[in-house]
Amino acid sequence: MMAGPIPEMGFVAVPRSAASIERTWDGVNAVWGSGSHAVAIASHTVPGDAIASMTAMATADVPMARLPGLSGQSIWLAAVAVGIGRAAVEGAISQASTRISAASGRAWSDYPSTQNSVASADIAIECARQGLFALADHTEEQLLAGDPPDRQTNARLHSICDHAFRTVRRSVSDLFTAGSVDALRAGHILEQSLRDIHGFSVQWERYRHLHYAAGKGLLGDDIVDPMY
Amino acid sequence: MSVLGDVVDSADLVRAERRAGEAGYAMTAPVMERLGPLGVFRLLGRDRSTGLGEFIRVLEALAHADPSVAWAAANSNGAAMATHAFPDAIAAEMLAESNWFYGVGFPPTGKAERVN
Repeated sequence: MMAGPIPEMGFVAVPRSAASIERTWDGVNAVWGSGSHAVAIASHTVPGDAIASMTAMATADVPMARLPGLSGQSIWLAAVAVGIGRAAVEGAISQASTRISAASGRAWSDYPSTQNSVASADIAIECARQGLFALADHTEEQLLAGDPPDRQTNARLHSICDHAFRTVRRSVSDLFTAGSVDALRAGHILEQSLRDIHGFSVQWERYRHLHYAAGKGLLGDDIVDPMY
Repeated sequence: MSVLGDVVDSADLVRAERRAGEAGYAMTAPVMERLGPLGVFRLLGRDRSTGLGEFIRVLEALAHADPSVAWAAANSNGAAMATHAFPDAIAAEMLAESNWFYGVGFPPTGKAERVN
């Protein structure tokens, strides 16, 4: 229950003591450790000043509030994807550097398929990573100047997410299949990376229309989607 | 040292706790206790001035160690960002403890009722 004006959409601050956690996240197939369980509030009275509208946050005089729609979420999802990819590359290198085939006695690092997968994944993910950082820094400059991101920059904030997920999914899949049977075991870094990049991809797919909107924006259309 | 440097220094612990966090379907106490005091869960709160460049690098570094922790930190920061929209007293209460993690539920499925 709440007192005072009720905005159409906004934030309601509730103390931890008012909520109970329902363990709906148990048994998921990816992103296991996030603790993304449901929260239930049986009854709690919220004072009016603990309710804030979305507009109040969007108009706050802070640089990050100048990010429109969900462009902030798009770029931070990209950061998560790239981090997963970087860990997978390192895991593949570590494994291939130490593993010897029991059947042939040949070092895993001598397999051309392993060499190709590691080299391709490493450069693909590092390019995505450096592009991500450059875009974040460029966007921050505009935010600090008191402006929202310009048309091209905002389009890239969404598209870098799509690019990161495509790049990392493909790279992690290649690394996983070029790895040894070790990667089939639960808890191996390539197994963890494979399931988590797909788990996070499900989240991005809900917002992937923003990537298409980015294309429309670059082509000159004014995008009216509030998520953009 | 920057928050990013602190997070990179904490990566081994976060990585070591990953299996336990996955087994329990939640962030472990050692990770919470290490990252919380660094301010990782409130980088975008109104008592901070973390820029987008550092925030993105922190999330990437966390995801490198454990993507689930990165996801949880990002969501907590979404809630911390909301402190910019609240009156000073409410924001101060939300930010009172430096190591708090903020849960965020979006959108709620229940229905609020107005009371006088």
